[in-house]
Amino acid sequence: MRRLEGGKGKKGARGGRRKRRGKRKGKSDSLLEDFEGTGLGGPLNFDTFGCDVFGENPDTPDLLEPDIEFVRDSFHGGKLLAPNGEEIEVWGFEDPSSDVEKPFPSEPMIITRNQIAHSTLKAHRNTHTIHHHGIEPTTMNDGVGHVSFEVKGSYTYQFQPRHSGTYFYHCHKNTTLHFEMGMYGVLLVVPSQGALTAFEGGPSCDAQAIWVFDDIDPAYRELGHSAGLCGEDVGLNDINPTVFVISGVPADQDAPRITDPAIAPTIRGDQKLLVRLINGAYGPLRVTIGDPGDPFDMTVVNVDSRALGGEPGGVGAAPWSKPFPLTPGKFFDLSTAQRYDIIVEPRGSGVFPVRGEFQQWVHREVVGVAETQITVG
Amino acid sequence: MSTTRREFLQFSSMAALGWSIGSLGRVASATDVGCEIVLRITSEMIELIDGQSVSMWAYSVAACEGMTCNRVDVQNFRCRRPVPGPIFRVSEGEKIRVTIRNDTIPRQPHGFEIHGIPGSLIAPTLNEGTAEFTVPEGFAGSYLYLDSANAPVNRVLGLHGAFVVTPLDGRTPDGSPTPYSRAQQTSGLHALFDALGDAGPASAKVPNPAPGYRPHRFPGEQWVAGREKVWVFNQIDRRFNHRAVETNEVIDPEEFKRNFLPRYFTINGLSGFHSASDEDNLPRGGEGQPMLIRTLNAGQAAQSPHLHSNHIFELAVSDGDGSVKVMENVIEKDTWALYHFDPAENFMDPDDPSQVPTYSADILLPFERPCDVPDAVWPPAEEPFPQRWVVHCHYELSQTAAGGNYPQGGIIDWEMTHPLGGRPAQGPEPEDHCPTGFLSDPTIYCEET
Repeated sequence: MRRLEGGKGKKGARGGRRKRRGKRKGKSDSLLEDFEGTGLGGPLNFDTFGCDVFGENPDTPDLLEPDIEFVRDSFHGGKLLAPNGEEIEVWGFEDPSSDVEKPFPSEPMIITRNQIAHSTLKAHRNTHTIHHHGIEPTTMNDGVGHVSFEVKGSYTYQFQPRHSGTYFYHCHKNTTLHFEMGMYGVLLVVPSQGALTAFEGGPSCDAQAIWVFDDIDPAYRELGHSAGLCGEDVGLNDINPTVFVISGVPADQDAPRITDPAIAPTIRGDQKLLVRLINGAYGPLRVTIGDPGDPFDMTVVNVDSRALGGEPGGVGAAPWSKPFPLTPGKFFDLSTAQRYDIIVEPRGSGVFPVRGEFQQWVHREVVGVAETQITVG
Repeated sequence: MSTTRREFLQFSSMAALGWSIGSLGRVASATDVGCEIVLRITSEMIELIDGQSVSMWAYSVAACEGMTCNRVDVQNFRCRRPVPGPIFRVSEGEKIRVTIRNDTIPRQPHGFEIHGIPGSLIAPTLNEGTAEFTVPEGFAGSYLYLDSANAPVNRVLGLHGAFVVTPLDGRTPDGSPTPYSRAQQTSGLHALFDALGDAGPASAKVPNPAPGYRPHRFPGEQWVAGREKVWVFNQIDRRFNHRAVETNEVIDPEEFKRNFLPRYFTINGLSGFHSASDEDNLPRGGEGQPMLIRTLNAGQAAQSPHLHSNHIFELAVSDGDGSVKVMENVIEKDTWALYHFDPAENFMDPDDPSQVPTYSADILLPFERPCDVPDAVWPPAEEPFPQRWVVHCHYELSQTAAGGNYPQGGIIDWEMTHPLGGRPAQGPEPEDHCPTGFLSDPTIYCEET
């Protein structure tokens, strides 16, 4: 494996190639000096924690030759058409190699387990970051401003995911606002068998559904990029969502069933479906799949991108955990940012409802619903 | 189990902040009760992260001499704060007498209960009340003590704290230390704690490992009893504090539940920068030094803590009945759920991890090498230790203060000081992280009795 010298120098984005160093032992002072413009070496105080956080454009430490690369350009001014005809602004990350402009959610990153991944953020307005949620990187590659930096121009995050599963990525600057504005996308780490297998050596499925449940408050669209950061009361402790989506597709609250085939999968009776479920809302999500007695079985095989029971050939067995079943028609709860990977195995045909109830985070009353369905032909 | 006690009592200059009116009277001497805890309930004025202040009710230990037993530790926080109350650590089997003394001004009746510990309830009183009970064996775990009167008002407005029960013998059948007694332990718990450390019992038990299998998932050390943190989450809507604590209005709990709109979010009473670097909050250790973290939500808003760059193991949870349920299925998560405390929410089946209306969860932070750092660059050559990441509630509304100020809400950093075989590195020192007026006076260590 080849270690690159001078991350940005490789792409010519910046001069000043970083010299490769030996082991850090005995060099902590000089390293801290190198990072004095970041949370690793800079002053830690109230201001650098939030209002005046580190904004940098550094080289990636310990840069290696990547196996796979992603580029994400930040954007504002995207549009989501709500069921009532209202255009709702969204922000996000655009893939310059894709034809899709200003997508919501942002386009997935799909990485095969053990690939060295480079995820390059190009921040086009003020600063942003990308936090690859569930990935375990070094501090510099984690995308949190006060312990590292926010990206003023461009930065390449580096990691090598070991565990198959469903992750997501999102901006970690003024996250309350930026995440709500739509700055997130799905990140899949797939085993060598491909995306239709939940974990290395797991059962092969025939189709997958990726469901990100999210709630949207149009009032947040009146706020600016750095709203509230330096003490203004802009109401970010409160949310009153009126639009409820599954993977960017709004559910009309008068008829919340989404039948768009991009969301509502159809499989044959002898096929298996892999459901990747993410709660992206700012409240608990209560999910019910099917009605009582419906003829299919469900098994949760991954939670938060960790295979229950472990991943043979990967990090190894995990005898402390085991897959567990879900029952058709019986609800289960996902706290925000939690993920379940569920294998659905039909025992008969039918159209099976999927219902997500969005709960308010204090009194837990249901404030909206989004539904879709699984069709077994 | 420790047979000595170290009581960390700090008598700080809280008078500079507000009321705290009343005298520290001498407490009753011990009788046949193994341990005597005397708690004052006071009204306090507390500084928030943005310099605003809020009135709260608070529990505190009345006097050092009152602790007459050997098997209770009382831990006040090093950055002194009135809320939450001190952390109590008690061994299974301990006989305890709790006396509360209501010194609030103005005064409303207040009580006490360790939710889930039989016999610990003290009915609301304007003066004093007492309960005597024995912590049963098989009850090791994390509990919330609280004023359950006028629920959830009194609890959320400050009358809560953590009560920790340690096992008489927490070892697995193979001898690995755990935080739970044998009767509570599950096969999942055994498998995890036996797998920790190079010398853990599981390291020699891997038959026919698959290609690429790492014989030691958790190189380093086993978990060590006492290597732990306690995080008590809470939320503040000052409108209710003012009405209840300052004007003595008895708040209608239904109105409270309906209209509670928190604007400040605390972990162990601190927010944002104050919380993130606080020594009592921040987990710090080397690679391979697993740490137990006891997380309890005393507030009314759901919390969804997310830990960066390690997955945690959810060991035990509590729902409405307060009993500690050690998980049979010990699931690795990067985000776990802490809903609000509600005695009516009690439908959890320990065998069904999909339905967990928990307000309390013990988690194990393994202090593993962050697994997605490429092999070739761990330990990093061009990045310094300590490596630092964050833990924060992912209901991102909770990351604010007074409607903005991201991320000055419910957040804590955690720190890996060195890789395996290395030595702890010191990062840049945070500037004073104690809130103004919260700087500790020198800690008083009580003499053993």
